[in-house]
Amino acid sequence: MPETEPLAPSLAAPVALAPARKNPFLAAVLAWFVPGLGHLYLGRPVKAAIFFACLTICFGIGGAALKFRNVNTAFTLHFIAQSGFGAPALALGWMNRDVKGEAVIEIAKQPAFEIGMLYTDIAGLLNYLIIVHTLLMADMTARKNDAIPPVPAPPAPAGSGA
Amino acid sequence: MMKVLHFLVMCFVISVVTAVLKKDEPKEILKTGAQFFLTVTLLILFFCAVLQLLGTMA
Repeated sequence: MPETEPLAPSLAAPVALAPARKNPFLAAVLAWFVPGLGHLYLGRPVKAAIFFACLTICFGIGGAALKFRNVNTAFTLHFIAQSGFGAPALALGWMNRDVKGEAVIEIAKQPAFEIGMLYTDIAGLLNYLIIVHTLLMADMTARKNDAIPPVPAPPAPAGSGA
Repeated sequence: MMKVLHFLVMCFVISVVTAVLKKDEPKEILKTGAQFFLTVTLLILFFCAVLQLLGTMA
């Protein structure tokens, strides 16, 4: 019965795989585009799900109180805060671009105006915080990857070369 | 009553997001979240009280 050959050193030895390098800028853009997507990209799905759920519920409550007409560029300072929520906020702002003048005053007179604005503003501002955290986390991961020493190549078996 | 509810929901959301940002372990998140919830609630109440005071003084 033939003896089994020992495995080649590269297969036998455990190889320390460094985590894939993540682009901090892309992570931040993803985090802004959809809340939680940046953390998903960085390999933190649970955090991503919590952020997405919390911010979407918050923005949804605030928007639904005023039929999403409060996400409007006419409320400039509010819109700056709301635009932290990313693509959905910008899309709503674009959809409400025709709501001007008297219609805006009517929205502002509604009893739910303050609460609706508060919820959507807080959702946007919290996402700005999450974007900064995503940037810092991606940068930290990149630094850690740089600190990992390269795995030395296994020595070539004697007599195999020319 | 509704205002208090909205206020508590807001404090809850802020606490959850900040606690999850700060910690990784679920147990630590719970503890930090509870601390943040108390802190945020007290801070907002304090600012409300100051604003009320300023309002009555004016």
